[in-house]
Amino acid sequence: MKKSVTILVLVLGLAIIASLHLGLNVYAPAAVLSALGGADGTDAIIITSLRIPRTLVAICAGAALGLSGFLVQASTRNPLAEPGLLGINAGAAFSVVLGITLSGSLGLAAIGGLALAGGLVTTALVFGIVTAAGRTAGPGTTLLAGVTLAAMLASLTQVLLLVDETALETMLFWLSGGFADRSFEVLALGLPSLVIGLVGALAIAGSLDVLRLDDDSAGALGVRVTGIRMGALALGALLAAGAVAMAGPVVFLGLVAPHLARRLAPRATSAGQIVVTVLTGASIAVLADIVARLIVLPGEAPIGAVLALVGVPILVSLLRRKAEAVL
Amino acid sequence: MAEALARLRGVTARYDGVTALDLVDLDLPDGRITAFCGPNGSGKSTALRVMRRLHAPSNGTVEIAGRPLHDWSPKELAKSVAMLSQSPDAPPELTVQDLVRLGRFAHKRGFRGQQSEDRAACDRALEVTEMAHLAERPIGRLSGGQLQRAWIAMTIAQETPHILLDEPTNHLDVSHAFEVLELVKRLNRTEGRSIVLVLHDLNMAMRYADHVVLFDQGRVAVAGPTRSVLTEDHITEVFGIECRLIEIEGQDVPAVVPLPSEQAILAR
Repeated sequence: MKKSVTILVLVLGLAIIASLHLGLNVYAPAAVLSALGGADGTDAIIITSLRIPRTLVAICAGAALGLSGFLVQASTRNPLAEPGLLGINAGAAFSVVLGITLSGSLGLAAIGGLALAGGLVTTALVFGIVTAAGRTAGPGTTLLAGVTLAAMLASLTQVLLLVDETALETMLFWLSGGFADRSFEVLALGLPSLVIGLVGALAIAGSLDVLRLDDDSAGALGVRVTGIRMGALALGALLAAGAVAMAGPVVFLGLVAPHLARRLAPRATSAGQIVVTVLTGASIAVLADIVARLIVLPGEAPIGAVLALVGVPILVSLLRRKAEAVL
Repeated sequence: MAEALARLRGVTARYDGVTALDLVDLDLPDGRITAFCGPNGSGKSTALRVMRRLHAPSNGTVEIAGRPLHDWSPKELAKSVAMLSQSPDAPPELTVQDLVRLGRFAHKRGFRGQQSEDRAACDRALEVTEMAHLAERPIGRLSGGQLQRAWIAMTIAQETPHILLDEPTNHLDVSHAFEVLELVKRLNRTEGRSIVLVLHDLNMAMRYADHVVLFDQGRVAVAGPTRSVLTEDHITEVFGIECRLIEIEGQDVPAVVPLPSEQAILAR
């Protein structure tokens, strides 16, 4: 566990350094250092106003998505669960399209604000539906409500896009998700949910350890089973809303990061897993962002495509090794 | 007379509208081994789950150690009553030691890690169940008997005066079953813990229980000291099967021998 944290911190550190140097323009360490020191000039401006924010956004969105995935998986005891099942991305997308349709083109900060609002409203709706369901309320019902709501919101989004073609173009860009051209305002939108999500997750980590058992056993050990499971989902939804505000709907990260974390620290307690997942999520996001900048120069590949290209083989190999370990 | 471990009054419990317990009144003595016996679906496990607040009754009142069940906070209750459920489940990669540590959940405060008293309780639980040498092994690689002992160790690590065990001898061969029940007896006799367990094997109940509750179709048919409950008449009445109690030389308790007649089986 300590070893994997050290390695991950190292990987993340190197990725951050690489992220500041690499891109359409490749800078020498001296240029990066002088930019960090407050130097003027085009290069310094590119580094401080583009490279630094996008790196920070990648770190925060990656951490938030990884942690969100961990919480959703822990709550449902389903390793295939991921934040998208809560309907947050669909809600954010609908909100953004609605905003663009009503007010014309928008900047990324405004879009981020709309996405955050949409994500939070969707969270409220999903948990509202579950509360209305009454006695049968539980994580299973929550995911069902999330998936159903996501399907409805996605079709409404489609309808809006058919009506308004200007929205279509901005949307296609935003929908693929990414960390490029994000400002510090976008970062500020997502940061509170990351902080609340992280503190909340650590606060319930002890209960999450016990929730690896079946409900009856966990209940007999003194855990408020339904409360903690629903709380974990709510924190997961909040984190996903923060992530979508920062980076748009980034797929796959929420599924892969917790799996990789489990692989790296199989015996860690939930508190340890939370730390490791935050690090794997952030590292994968920063690394994927660097790849996205480099593989189709002078253009940029959509981050979703990169994550799928890199993430699918990782996930398949993890699942394969896990199957072997069990046999 | 010690206070009752549990007192149920007019308790009715349902699963999706199906009645599992029907207006049950029950007093369980403290400091004893009590066995819940009865046919499948007669309400034994439900009674246990209701007592441990894992299932909310639709009617009636439950008291644990003289205090209404709804009065206890989750952690308080977990420090008083431990329960091993019928089919406990945990990830196969979890080690015995990590499983047993989870038993300390209710004793933890705030963000503090494992304290020396937690470690001592876990070590003792592993020792009592003779699992210390397997502490590092993932539970997915234990035999059935070892796995059951690992779960019991977790329950013991909870350090509660009362322990509920739902079919602890399930899936165990006869020698492992005896091992588990000998352990139960030790926990009761030398540590003074009260134990309530669901048992299917009437011979085991006859041998190990001080007190037996015989359930039948969601109601308590008979309850009381073992020998007064497990009689030929009561067993025949509840299970619908002829049986004889046969004294065996050198044994303290008679053997329960069912004598199925074609007629009785057809009648059911």
